[in-house]
Amino acid sequence: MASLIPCPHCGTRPREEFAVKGDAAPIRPELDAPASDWHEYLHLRDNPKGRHHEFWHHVSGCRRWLIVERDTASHEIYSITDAASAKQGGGA
Amino acid sequence: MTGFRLPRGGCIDRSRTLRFTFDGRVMVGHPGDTLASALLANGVGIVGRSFKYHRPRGILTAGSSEPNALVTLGEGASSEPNTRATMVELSDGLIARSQNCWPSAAFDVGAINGLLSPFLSAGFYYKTFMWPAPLWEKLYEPLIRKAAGLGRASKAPDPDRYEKSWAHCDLLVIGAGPAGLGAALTAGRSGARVILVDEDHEPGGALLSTGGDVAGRSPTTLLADLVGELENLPNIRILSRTTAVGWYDDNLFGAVERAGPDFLSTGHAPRERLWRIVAREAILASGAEERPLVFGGNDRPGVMMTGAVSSYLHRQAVAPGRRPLIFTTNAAGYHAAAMLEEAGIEVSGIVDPRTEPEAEWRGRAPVFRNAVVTDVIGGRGVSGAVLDSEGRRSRIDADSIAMSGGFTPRIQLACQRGCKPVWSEAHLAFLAPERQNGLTVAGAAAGIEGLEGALHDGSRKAASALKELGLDAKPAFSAAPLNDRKTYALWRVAGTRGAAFVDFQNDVKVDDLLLANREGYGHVELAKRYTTAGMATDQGKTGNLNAIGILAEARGVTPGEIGTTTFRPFYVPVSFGALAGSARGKHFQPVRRSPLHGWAEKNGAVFVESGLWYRSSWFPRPGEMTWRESVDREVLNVRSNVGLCDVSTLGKIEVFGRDAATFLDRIYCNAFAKLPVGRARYGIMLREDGFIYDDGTTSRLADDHFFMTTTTALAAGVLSHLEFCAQVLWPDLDVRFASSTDQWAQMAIAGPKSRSVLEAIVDVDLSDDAFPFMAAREITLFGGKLSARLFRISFSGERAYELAVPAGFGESVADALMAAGAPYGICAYGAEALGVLRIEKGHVTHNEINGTVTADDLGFGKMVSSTKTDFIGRAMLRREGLVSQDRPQLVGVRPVDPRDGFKAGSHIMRPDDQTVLENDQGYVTSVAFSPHLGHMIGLALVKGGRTRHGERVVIWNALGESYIEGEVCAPCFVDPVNERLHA
Amino acid sequence: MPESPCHIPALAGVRPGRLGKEDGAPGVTLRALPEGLVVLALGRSDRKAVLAATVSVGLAKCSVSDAGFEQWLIAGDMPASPVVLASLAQALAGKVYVSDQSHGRVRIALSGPRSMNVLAKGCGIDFASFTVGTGAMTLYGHLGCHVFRAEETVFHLTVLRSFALALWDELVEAGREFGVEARAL
Repeated sequence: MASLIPCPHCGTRPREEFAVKGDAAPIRPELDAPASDWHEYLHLRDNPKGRHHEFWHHVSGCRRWLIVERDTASHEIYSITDAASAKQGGGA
Repeated sequence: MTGFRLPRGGCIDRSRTLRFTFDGRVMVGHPGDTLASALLANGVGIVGRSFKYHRPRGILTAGSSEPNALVTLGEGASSEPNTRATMVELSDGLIARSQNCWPSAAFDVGAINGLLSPFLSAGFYYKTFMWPAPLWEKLYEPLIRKAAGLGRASKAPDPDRYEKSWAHCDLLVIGAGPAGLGAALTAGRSGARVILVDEDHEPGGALLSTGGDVAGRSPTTLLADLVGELENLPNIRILSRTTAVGWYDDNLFGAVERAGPDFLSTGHAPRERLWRIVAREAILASGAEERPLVFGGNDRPGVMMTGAVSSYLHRQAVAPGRRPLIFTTNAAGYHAAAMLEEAGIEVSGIVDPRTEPEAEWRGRAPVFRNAVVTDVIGGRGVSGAVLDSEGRRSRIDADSIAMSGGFTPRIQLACQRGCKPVWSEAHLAFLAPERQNGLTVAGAAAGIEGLEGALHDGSRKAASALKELGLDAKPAFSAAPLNDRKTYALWRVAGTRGAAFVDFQNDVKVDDLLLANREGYGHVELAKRYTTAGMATDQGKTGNLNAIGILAEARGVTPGEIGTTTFRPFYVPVSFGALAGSARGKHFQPVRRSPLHGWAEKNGAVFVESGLWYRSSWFPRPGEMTWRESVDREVLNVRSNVGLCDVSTLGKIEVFGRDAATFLDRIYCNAFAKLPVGRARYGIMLREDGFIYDDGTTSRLADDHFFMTTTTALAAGVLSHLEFCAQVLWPDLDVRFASSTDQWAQMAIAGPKSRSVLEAIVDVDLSDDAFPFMAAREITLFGGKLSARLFRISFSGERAYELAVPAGFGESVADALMAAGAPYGICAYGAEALGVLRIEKGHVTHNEINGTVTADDLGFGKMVSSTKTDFIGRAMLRREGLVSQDRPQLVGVRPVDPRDGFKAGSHIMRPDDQTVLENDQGYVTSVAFSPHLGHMIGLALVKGGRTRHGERVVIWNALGESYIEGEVCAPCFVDPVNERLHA
Repeated sequence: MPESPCHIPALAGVRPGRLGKEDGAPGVTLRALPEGLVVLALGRSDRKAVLAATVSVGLAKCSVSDAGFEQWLIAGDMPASPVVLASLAQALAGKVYVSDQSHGRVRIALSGPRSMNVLAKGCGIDFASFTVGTGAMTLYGHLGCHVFRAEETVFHLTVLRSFALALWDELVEAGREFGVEARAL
């Protein structure tokens, strides 16, 4: 796991300030989606070796949820964006 | 027996003497001595016994990679085993003992192991496991366990303090030898922030034990000049006695700083400090490890590295003996010979296997070319050596041997993040990539020859590293001397008779490695585990490359094809103390105090730890002998009079926003959007998979302002969940959160007389019309003097209120309530009584909300909204498995015989059923003794339990051997129609 | 009617005086700051606007510093009346919400020539770029806290009330080797 995280709001911080939730790829299904979609959203995860996107929560800093693109093998962080801003179409 | 102190020289302070003891013998040394140099100066030859064979061992090196001279320092609680004597700075009163020997290092009963050596060869651990099987448990295991380890750890608590700290810099320089000093000076002069670390107690590295000229000055003068300038640059921090132990992601480094010889347990400085260093760029200038030569008896006391000989001569004026023999494949042996002769010591000879030895040798000692030492003569020391020169054997007298097989670049740190080092035939060494990910290797660690070469290399690499940061730096040293490389591979001497050691600390011989290869364990990672070469506390620093070379020859391949084993942090063993830092004892985890802690304390509370919180659990009165007496009294008193309980630890979250109501509607499974201002509502929050996550009471204080409560345990989790939903799922909603758990001291005032007590301090009409059940309002107290919030909610089932006041006034308000309540018989009650009261009423906590229950399981099915279009958990709640009526449902359980007791966790079984898992009907989630009923009661989750009230069951607890006859009943034991809420 | 309630500061019980190394000038001073005003402002705005609103309701002596994304910490030694707090909420209404944390958070001032050494023992922020007037939410050891650089070597640490004594103890431990001058209220 990476040691120093470049939070877009707070600058570089030790990873102890963060909590990792998991894969950011699954999108919450629409209200009328079939149960199988929900089962996949909740219970099924890929386990890639290499780059993938994760939800990180800056618990001891700005308390923003962030989307971190990280390489699971080398731990390198390629990008880190504010999750809400990403969803709303902005940067950050 | 051969070492001695020279009458002059060394960097020791001869005007002061330090007394120390070794194995009970009192000896003297001087400031500037290490324990190792002082032992040598006092003629001590045998400092311990080897691990397996209990062979007598002496001091091999003068530094960090020492495999032999491991002693136990100190006594009692301060004793520290397996300490390298070469790294201990001598102090007055120091106590040291040898290890792994009895009764003494000089005469050790364990030496008998030496006779067993054919049976103790490589792989013997593995083989004893296999056959004969019964002997493993009865004989081998107990014996091996007793023999395991070298020193013995103290079992007393560590009396010393440890700390951790962060540090930031533009350039971290690891190693303060010539390469590191060149790098630090280059960077320092440019104004960059530099941290320079070195394991030794002073900077210098190889400059501390060298003669001759470097960059036009004596090494001593050069060193003084460099350090002098560095110490005066404010942007440079020098950390001596500091070992860089690990290289981590994002160029983060771990380093352990040790206290100096003046450290006192009773002082205020820590014994060790763990540094976490954030470096934008780093230079690894860790130098190179001198390799032993592998010949018969190379582990005898009196056999030492040539670098060690030079170091002891130069720094402590200690000679290894009066007639040393040099055995070397490179220039280092000749340097040592020159220093010895300069000190007036007669070198008996220089044995050099090369045909063309060093051209410049002008000393007195004879040089034996094309020759090797095959065996040492002597057991407890050196009395001579057997030479082999092109097949002809001869004996030579010597009382000590200095050997050098070459230098292995110390690349460990550079390979800790996954890169594999690459074999260089030209360097006869494994090298790390010169630059990767912000770390550059310089000097001897990069295979650069010579001290001037190192100065230059460190300087230019620092300048390059700074250039990566956009900083301009001019190399401090820029003359590029000739790189005159002469290497000679001699992984082991052929034709030896005695045992030839490769890994000294784990007693691994050449034969062991050859055996491993014959038995199919020739892969470097397998050979390591099979022979244990490289697995001791020194991690094989001196021996690993020899092992690789020997394996390579045995298998007929190059060392590059054998490769190295994987490098991982830490570079040297790190104490648990340093890793814990100050987080031990009282500071292991922070204590979280309620604002009513003082109030509880002065009322005699007994506290319980609940996560980090200290919660008042019960309030014993004089004469009460058990907790049950106190709790029973508190419970009875709340239902007959009134009680005051601290509920400040439950989570409190202010929810603001135009869309706050909409948001809460989506968070809870029941309706919240239309909750009127001034009302509280019990809410159940589900997980997305439909199971209950948390519950609490949420009140509306204004259109765009809600006050949410959660359980104590999940306060933090719920806030994170709310933030996830607001930011990730519905970022278009205008909603904000602020934790206010600490802002409010919150107390429950419960009991039929609660209103009367509260009326004494609140400025609001508490009649049932004006303040009905579930009202929630901002009010004032004491005639307008204090703002507060009052909620008419009940966890106990009695008429009850919760009053929230600003935390700083909490104790004072609680005092006022106790005073106002005295005529009504008010008592303080704690978490235990709170628990009994809620179990009597069947109110659920996380005992029942255990991650496996739905709202319907707990009887809250009707609360779940059928009209809301979206709330967390809605979709998955409709799964057939979650709506089945066969699911475990909340019930009460009581013993048939009121004298019987039972524990939570007990299973519910049908009386005639076989006790197998398929017949399990459920389990008890909460139990309490009800003083109102006079017997134990419980809540349980039982399959289809709602239709089974009255059924006789067995409350089954095989672990406690308890099988109680019980009866399933409604989950409410007191006032099932809830009359008392309005009493 | 009982008498007026009295306010008990969270750090009322700390041991004042010289702690740790006795000789020489103390390397750090720890001071429990008065429990005056601490407010979290949350919403889409910027520091300038929050500062302007703070000044407009008469709270000019308070510091306004960054406390996270769209969050600011307003802090000062003097408590504010409910009327002033309401005015502040009014001045920021529409975009920014105001949460009174005057009791929920406690402030400790850490000052002296070794204050940055003590800070570095618990906090991983690089203070070289942390200029006077800067604030940030971070960790000290295991405790979340807000750090505000009031002066070159004066830092205000703001922590949850329930952890105030724990943080004070951590700071005393960290300052021991330099000598600590502890000042209670």
